[in-house]
Amino acid sequence: MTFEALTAVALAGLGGTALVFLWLKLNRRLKRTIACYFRAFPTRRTNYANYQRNYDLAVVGGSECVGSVDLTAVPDLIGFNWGLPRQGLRQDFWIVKNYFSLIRRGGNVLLFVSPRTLQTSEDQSGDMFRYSFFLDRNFLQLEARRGADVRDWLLGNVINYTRRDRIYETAGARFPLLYPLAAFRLLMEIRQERRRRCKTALSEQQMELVAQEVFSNRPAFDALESGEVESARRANTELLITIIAFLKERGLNPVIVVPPAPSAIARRYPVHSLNRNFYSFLSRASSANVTVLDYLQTGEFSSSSCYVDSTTLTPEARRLFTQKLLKDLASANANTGAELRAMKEQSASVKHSSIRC
Amino acid sequence: MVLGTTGFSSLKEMDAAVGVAIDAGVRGFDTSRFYHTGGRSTEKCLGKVLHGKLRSGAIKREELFVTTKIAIPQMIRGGIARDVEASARDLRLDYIDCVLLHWPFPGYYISAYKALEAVQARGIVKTLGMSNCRERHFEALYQSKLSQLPAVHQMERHPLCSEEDVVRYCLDRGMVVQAYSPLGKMMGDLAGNAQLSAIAANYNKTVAQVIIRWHLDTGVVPVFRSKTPSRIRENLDVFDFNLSGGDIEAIDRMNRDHKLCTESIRCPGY
Repeated sequence: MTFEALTAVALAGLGGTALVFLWLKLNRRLKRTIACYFRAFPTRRTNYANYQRNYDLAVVGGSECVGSVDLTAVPDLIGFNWGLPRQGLRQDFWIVKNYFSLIRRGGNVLLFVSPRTLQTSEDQSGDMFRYSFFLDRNFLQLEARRGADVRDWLLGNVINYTRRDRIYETAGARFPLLYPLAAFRLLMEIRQERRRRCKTALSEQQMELVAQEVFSNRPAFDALESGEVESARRANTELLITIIAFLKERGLNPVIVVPPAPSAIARRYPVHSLNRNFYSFLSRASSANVTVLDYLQTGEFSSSSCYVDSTTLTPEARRLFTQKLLKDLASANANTGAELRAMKEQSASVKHSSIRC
Repeated sequence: MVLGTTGFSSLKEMDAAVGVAIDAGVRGFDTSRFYHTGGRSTEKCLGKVLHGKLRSGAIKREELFVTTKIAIPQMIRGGIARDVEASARDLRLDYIDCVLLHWPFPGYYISAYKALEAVQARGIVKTLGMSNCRERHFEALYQSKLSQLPAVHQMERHPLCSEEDVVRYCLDRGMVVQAYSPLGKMMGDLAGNAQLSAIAANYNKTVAQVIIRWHLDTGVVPVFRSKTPSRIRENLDVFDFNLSGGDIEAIDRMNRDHKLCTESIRCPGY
């Protein structure tokens, strides 16, 4: 081998090593950033022996849930904010299915449902990357599939099922940079969240511009002709009913919260459309004796000075809203408590006598 | 009493523990197809150990009660009969005394239980049971027209998580209730508990012995695990006393629903 060839090989080797080193360094940095972002969520690797249990309540939802609740404002309660930006009802359900055992018996689960929540089409399977950092991967794989597809996926993964599961989980968890596009999207979300926390309250004019942008980017709320939106509403309503039934079956108290919105946003929902396209579906979902706390129409947190963007309250407004929300929840539970106790006692006695083995 | 076989680091360690347990009178052994002992299948290790004890005459087959479990991946994958036959082969037994479904995984556990019924009809399994269930899981099973109701229910139970409702429900229906983590891994709140220590002092026993006696006096079979021969003997030295009603109630009142094994995380959708 000539001297030049040797030099080229050596340089290529050095370059390759440097690239690998850089890749690993970037990957490590990415992992730390993601771990920090999801630090509130326990994973399969969490040491549950010492983990907090018996939460009094959990809140779950999308951007409004993240942006309006500050559980540190109520130190007497042990609560968990399971909201994530852009989270839809299906992902709310994933989180509820995985973590509900951490809530005490009779604890409250607050489901944040806005007019946009019901309207959003549930095709967020591409978002699984971020949930894979704290939810069980095989659970997510199964959730992404329906019917015959589940069996096909299982048959394709029959051999060495648990070993493959371990390899997949290890690779994804240790080397998130193996999925550069998804990692980039997640980084952008993290960056956006960090920036949002540093923002200041908007003026009325600024909020007006924000509201115009929000409504111009999404399907019209009262688009009666849009079959896709209508079917999304129906599907989301069914899903909400399923989540409510799921929680009640497990002895938890589901509560629907319609989050507040700035007046610039709220007045863009025509009243007749709001009743037809949101409240009619919501009343169907909440018909099974579910408390609904509606802050969209109260006007209490409608001033733009309470908001840093269309869904996020200022820190002070978040504290005030959280305190109000939990005070209203306590009142609602006190009112229904006596009725619920009577119902429980009655159903227990009926169950016991009807079973024959 | 049942000796659990998860967590042994080697065949030798398991052999020593099982030997001590058998000498002290234990006849029940609990395992699972998904447990591992020093990188090897726990079922195979337990099979080898029990085979040795049977051959040496330390124990007779009809005295043994071996339990194994079907895990969630197996339920999803299907082929329960094949897995049970493989378990019987690995355990070196002609039949398995009891097979439990490890978790009531939604959408799969009822069909898995029915598959187990078919296996039981062939004589490879004597008894069927469930693990980690609540009343609603049993009611769903009862409504699905089973030919053989679960005879055993294994669940997490210790003074900080007494699960009174589920225990009563199962006992009322004639099920044998087994408690895993019966000592709550002797968490700080148990090991250093003043009330438990006082009760133990009254009977001249240790806190662990009092807790195990509490299980027995409330009709529950503890499935304990220990690698240390002296601890195994200590845990089994509980048949010379009974707790008073007041002491049982005092331990019952310690409940705070503190589960070590969080169901929804082990079995999403539970």
